[in-house]
Amino acid sequence: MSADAVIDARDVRVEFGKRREAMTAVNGVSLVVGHAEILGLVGESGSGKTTLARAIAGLQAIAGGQVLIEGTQIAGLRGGRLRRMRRRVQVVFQDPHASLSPRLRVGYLVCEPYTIHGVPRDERRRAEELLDAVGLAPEIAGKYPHELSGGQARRVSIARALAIEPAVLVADEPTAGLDVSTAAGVLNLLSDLRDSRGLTMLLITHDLNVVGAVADRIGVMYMGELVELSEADALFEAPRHPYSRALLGAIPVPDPTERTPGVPLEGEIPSPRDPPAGCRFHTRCPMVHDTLCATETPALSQTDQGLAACHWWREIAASASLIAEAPSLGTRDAGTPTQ
Amino acid sequence: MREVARRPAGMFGIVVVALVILAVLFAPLISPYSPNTQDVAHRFAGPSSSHLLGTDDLGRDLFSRLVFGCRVAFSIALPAVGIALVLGLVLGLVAGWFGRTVDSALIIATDALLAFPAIVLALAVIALYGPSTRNTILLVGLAFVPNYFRVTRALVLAARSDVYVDAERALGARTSRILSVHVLPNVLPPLFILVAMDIPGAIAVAAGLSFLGLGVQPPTADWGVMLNEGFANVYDSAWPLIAPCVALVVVTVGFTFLGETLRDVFDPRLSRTQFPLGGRRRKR
Amino acid sequence: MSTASVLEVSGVDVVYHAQSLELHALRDVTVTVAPGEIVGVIGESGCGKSTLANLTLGLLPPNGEIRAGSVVLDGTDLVGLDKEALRRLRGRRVALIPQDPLQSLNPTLTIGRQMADAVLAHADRRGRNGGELRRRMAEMLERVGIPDAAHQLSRYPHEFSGGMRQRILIATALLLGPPLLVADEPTSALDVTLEAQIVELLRELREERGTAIMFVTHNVGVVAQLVDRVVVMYAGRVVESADVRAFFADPRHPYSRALLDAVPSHRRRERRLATIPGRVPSLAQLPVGCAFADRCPLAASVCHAVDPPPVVDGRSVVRCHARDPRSGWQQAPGAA
Repeated sequence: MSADAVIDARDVRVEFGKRREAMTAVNGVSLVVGHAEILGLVGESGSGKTTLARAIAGLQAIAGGQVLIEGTQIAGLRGGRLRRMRRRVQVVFQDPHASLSPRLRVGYLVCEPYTIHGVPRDERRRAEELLDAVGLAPEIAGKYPHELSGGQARRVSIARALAIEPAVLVADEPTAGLDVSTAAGVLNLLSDLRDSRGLTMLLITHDLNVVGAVADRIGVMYMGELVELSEADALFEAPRHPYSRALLGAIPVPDPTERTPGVPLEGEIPSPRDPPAGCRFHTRCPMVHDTLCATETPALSQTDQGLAACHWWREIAASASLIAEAPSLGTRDAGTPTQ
Repeated sequence: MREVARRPAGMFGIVVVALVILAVLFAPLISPYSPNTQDVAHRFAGPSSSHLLGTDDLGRDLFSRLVFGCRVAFSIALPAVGIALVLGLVLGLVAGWFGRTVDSALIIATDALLAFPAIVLALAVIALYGPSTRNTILLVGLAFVPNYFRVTRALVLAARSDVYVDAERALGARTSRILSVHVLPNVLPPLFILVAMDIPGAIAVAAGLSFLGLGVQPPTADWGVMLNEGFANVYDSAWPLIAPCVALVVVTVGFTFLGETLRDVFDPRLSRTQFPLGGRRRKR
Repeated sequence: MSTASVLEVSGVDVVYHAQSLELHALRDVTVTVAPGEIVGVIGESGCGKSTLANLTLGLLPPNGEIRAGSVVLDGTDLVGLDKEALRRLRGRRVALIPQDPLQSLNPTLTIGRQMADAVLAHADRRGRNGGELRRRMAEMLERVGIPDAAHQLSRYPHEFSGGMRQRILIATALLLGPPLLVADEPTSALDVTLEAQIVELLRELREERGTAIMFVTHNVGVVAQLVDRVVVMYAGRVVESADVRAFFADPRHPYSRALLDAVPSHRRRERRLATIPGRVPSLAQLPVGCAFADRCPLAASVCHAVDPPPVVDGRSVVRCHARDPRSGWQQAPGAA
């Protein structure tokens, strides 16, 4: 909890639904992101990463905990104070076309933040300048959103978010729906923005390859909880949580000489309305475990590489050093039940 | 517009609407006689060179009465639909956007309005306030409000969960801005199509009221009034009845065709341009 | 090009008619799939891979026209066949594993009913008997990893998760035992751990049944892990085709190379990713010469003038002047 944390989320809880339908989408997550740092939040469907990101951006009400942006709590802000907070945190949404109002031209859309926040005329930059900062030609200003390609629309969203010079950028799946080379361009752009403007970024994605390319630190989420949080290098070289290891092992390596038989993780995510007792991952965890995992939820604790929420991280650390780079944990047993 | 004209129904609609607009604007220039000039000597005349459609029971030229009737019909239908549009739009915006209690209250209110058949409602109001053109306009307008309310509300509800609205909120835009700059322009086009299709309905309801003697009063040349008079004198001549009938049918059908064609051209087209011009990759 | 191929697409040109434009979706495309072979078709938006998949299923949209070439599926040329003849082939000779399992299943019918439809659409001696059919369906569901299959037949699609639905679709595709499966981005909508499961399943099924698969995807990693041969498409043409190991060891076409360089990998964590400058040309206005020339680091004058012909080298095919000893291509001074 450093004094200069730009994003400070403390024990955030988000719940949906009422009574019998209630589910906890985010279950007590804490994280801190500093100045000019990119934190990647990865997880699969149902991990709660998008919900958490929305909560941090102030777009989702939280049921517990606090979110502080530049030291100020965002819950309970109203009116003018809320708007000022919005100037500091900007969001780039997942679907690049859907987030742009369809009947307005790009030029208007990128400059709209100035109007919304009443920025004096002499402080505004021209639409063409804003577009240029994200690598788009000035002619784009005259087009409508549906006339843009996916990559262009994505860059327009980023340009718009940057217009009022926020401190924080929350990017939700910034490469979703984009071709490989276009996606690479967007990732390079995000990297550059962090370097040139000192932007703090929260990058949400399901794709570990994407996050590996730009993130400084990475948080892994499973069923609404943060199961591992460490420096990017540390995570890729020495993951300390079985789920992180499984995720890494599941990524198809673009090298046909490295084909591994067997799958890293069997079964599917349990229903979020009825999460498993104890460690939420224990029903699918390939590690040898005993009743501890089924009864006691592991807290996020300090390991030799960062933070991990697993009772057995020391065993994982030990086995990792014995088996160099073992991407899949064990082979598939024909008789092992998956649930 | 080209697309609309390409379809036969659309073409028909455009022609009818054009004629109607001409009649409304230039009634005095088009009609050979004033609608109220009587010529009792030539009552119940059939169509001839001096009276295109013949004359009615008081010798008034049917064609002229028809043309002026067009004007009357529009002077009722247009403001009525206009009232319905504005009221329905505002209420729909409020209900769709703010939801919950306000929404429930408005739905109950408009459903109650819908529960009354228009004619019964008319009877009640007119019994209290007497028949007149102004009351007709208000009644017809009120009868159509629930429709606009519902459509607007549905569109606003959909827009509310649209990503771009979320994006505007994330930028810090005030509700008033989001509604006026982003939601409204997307809500209006379908409403205009509805207007095109409701105008004939409004004309029909207004004519119905006049026919029953509850709306426009004779001697004003109004199609409903003409229907009534034609009906009463049908044994003497069929023309005073045929003329307003045909007019009503043609105008109703014309506007309806136009509205439906507009709807067909604008809505599905937008979602149907699929072809691979380097299209977007399907996403998760 | 033996007659035993499961699929032989030869010199196919496909054009889409959109308003007043003609989009050249496929140009002189030749792809062969041997029995039991898994062929990965990769490329970015607009390259024509989806058109190729639809073509193989005989499912081109009404505004699509096959202008040239032949599509021989298990011995029968699809070009020129009428709708009924094409329908009879679908399911029995070729089956589809679609991209989105949610949208591909009818929410109002049980999965047993939908699977049965696939079989009963081909009224023949196979499985008309209700009990026999149910047994086969349950067996197939068990095989793709759905436990307690006999009971699951009476469940509805919404009762299953995304991964399960995809398995159901795979089971359905296999019911009639077609020699070729066309998988159109079957794992794009799935999480990576589920994707790994499906890829493993497809590997096993190929081993057991000798089913050939045409796997269309943009995911280079999955291609490396699953396929035997890689076909790379760009702007409607096949620009390279090679064995998967040869391809990844040494991609011959500049686009292939650029594509592999642009793929981010958690193992290769350089700060800046390689991108390909420029954009894919519009299929309605293709440039003269090689369609990739404007973006190619090896482009020379001949590239802008002449469309490169395919050059066969053992089991590989490349369309690139720089790889063609007879093309007159000369390295531009100062080029990479």
